[in-house]
Amino acid sequence: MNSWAGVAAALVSVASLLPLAFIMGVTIQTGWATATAMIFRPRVGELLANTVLLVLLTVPICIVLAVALAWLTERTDLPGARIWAWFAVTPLAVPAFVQSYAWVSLVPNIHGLEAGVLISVLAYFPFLYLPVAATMRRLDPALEEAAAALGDPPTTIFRRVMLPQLRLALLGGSLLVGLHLLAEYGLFAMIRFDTFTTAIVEQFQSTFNGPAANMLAGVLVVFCLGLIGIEAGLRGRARYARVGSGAAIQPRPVRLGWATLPCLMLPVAVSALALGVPALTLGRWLAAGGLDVWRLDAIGRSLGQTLVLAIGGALLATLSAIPMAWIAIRRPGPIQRLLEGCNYVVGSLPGVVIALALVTVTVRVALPLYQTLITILVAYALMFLPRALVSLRASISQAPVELEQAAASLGRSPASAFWSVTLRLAAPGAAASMALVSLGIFNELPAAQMLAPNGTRTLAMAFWALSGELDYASAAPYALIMVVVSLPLTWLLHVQSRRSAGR
Amino acid sequence: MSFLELRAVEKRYGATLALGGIDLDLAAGSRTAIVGPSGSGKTTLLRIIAGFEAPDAGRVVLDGTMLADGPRSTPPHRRDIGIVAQDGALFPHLSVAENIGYGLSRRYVGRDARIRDLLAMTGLDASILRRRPDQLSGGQQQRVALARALARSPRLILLDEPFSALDTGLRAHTRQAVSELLTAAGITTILVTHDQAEALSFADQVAVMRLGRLLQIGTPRQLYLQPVDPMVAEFLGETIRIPALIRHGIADCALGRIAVDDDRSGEAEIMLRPEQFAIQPVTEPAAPGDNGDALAEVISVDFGGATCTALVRLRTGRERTGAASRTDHAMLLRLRVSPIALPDVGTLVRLTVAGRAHVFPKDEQSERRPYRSV
Repeated sequence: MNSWAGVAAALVSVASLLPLAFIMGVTIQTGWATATAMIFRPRVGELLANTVLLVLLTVPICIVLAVALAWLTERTDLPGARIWAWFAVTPLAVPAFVQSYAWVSLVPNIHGLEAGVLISVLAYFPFLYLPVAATMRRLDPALEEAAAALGDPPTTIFRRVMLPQLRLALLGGSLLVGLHLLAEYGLFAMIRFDTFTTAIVEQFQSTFNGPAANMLAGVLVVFCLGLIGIEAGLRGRARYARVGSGAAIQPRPVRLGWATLPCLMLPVAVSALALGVPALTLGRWLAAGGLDVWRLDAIGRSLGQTLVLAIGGALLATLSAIPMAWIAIRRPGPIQRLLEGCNYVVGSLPGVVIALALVTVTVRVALPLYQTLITILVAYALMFLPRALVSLRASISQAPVELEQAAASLGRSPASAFWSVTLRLAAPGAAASMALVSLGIFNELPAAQMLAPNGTRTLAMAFWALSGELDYASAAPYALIMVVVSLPLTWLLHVQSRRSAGR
Repeated sequence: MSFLELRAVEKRYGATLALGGIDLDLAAGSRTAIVGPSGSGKTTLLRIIAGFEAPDAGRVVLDGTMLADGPRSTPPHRRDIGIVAQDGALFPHLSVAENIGYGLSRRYVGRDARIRDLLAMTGLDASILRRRPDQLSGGQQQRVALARALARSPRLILLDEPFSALDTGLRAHTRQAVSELLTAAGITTILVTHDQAEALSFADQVAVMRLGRLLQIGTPRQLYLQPVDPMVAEFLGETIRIPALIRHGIADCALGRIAVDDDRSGEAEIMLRPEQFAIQPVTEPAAPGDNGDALAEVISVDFGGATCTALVRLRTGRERTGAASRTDHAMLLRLRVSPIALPDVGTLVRLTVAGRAHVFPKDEQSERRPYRSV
């Protein structure tokens, strides 16, 4: 059991490093002179400035917004706090490019950095809200009371005690937002704002597999690794474990009093912008299009193809994650952590980079596999492996090793014990991991565009093509389906974050 | 004039009465322990004094300053009251030095020296200054929390079960050290605990609380030996209660004639602590008619190291005198015995009582056993 799991985990990890290896391989093949000529040119500088500005503006705004909303919904007597908390997570159900579509069709001349920042904040702030709200719920009010007894007024307590304890949540959430900003294609392409990712896709569409796209991908990878490094460096080795053993008392909600109404404006405004605008736009186009836009044959075919990709990809990702998750729980060690780290780093790379790498691999080494179902499923498995790993790990840790040992003492072989006991107990977690992965695939755009077999038209691709032709009404049903299918995911995340806080 | 004054303090959580009219006075520099079972409202009382909660009614006055008058309450950061919570509540993101210095202004010139002084005062080594709270033992954490609370030289220190998370040995040691330190600093202190031994040994004034009310306030000795009712008596330690006929300061009961601390006469129940008894093996059984001695037979013994107990059955009046008497029912007593002189089961022993027995004052609580005049 150990040996085959170890070998399998190592194989998966090596396979996951394939995209990185190919980016490097292509760079070396291109030659240093050509590579530098391609990297150090005004166009790349422009993309670099755009991307850096986007990250530097969006992440801080998301932080402020998430902390303010989390404080209002978790620590005050804001009316309807539970509903606002749920509304602060729901924007995750709206794919970023649908959010962008909603704004473009509402304000046709919206474009550039400001538009990019606005829509990115609305689409991605829940990634920060979720961990910040969960941490705030867990904070020990005794610490705030201790600070008050030591003479700090409430605003100082917020700065000196509460904020520092949110650090891990803020760092983790910011990294997630940052990586999404780097990876997102549809959102920025729709409002004609150029980032590395949009440039790579453009380059790929115009010159197919030219070295230029690969060089841009190389810069993007360096960027991603930089973000991960910054986060790891800032996080350090500090852990803010709650010291002591006594039961935490329930925090007393802050009375807002006269400030209730002004404070209420924030969640109202955010919900109106992040949920109201897409709802309004979709509703308007669906009403305008009437029954004609529901071309059921085309929509049905897209839905079917998307489901095949989503379920197939989820299955592959979950199966590949099993050995790694098993080792991580049962035989943790430095090698295991290294292998796991590889998977996380690769999973954080933009879909376009992985897609580009797989195009390169198949075209050069295994042409028959180019634009086949296998290639795109592999791409999805690589992209979403970390998602599968996280929930699988959590659920395997719920199945104690003693049960496996009991099965062994009753005459089961290790593999049989694993299948009949551990996996049976981990099944709910495996199901959750498959759900998370398939939802990710469901709304995925750039990798599908680059890798899907000829004739494939996923919901996202169909939506993209139709809105690209400015046929917003025909695109609306596709967007609606994607939002409706994603809604349960946000509910799941909402409930999970409450449960992790022990409520 | 008292330093801290609580008058008719009331607090409700919905329909639950947490505090029902608390009156409490503390002298400057004194140590008061509030003791009671969990849910008795002692922590709520502490939180009202600290300012984390406002009372629904009643006043809290500290050194002539009104801190709370009904729901109008001074916020905690303007009260200058130090608090040490159950588990220390150290800031996990700050080092020990920054925790201790949290309440000191950064512009305060002698800040570092003050932090080191406090560290030494609480018996901690300077080597832990750079550590994080999660690298400290439980006892160290409590000492750091105390140093942090002392840093601002508060007018009053509140200790909220600060020793309950510690191991037994460490607990007594830390309690002793904290008690000495606070006495030396002359800071008025309130300790909240559910451990009666801790309350008795720590404080010079103990208040027993139950269901949101203070049952009795007094010195540890008063509370232990002259509790106001059986409930207080039992909360503070084991009791032995025997019906007796009292006349002119002497109780006539199954134990013979025992001095009591009450000069009323009549039928009543007397209370003794197990430590008041001494037992001596009797070689020759006393002859019937020997009225003065209380004899008992050892039923079982429990060797528990420092505290050994013996269960004895008191000889009834009939067994002693051969005649029917008021004390004919067999009475079992559980007594403390020295481990050196542990009697064997079946031994006949003579019981002697040191000190006087206590008679509960007549009040509504003792109405179940009315004091009947003869």
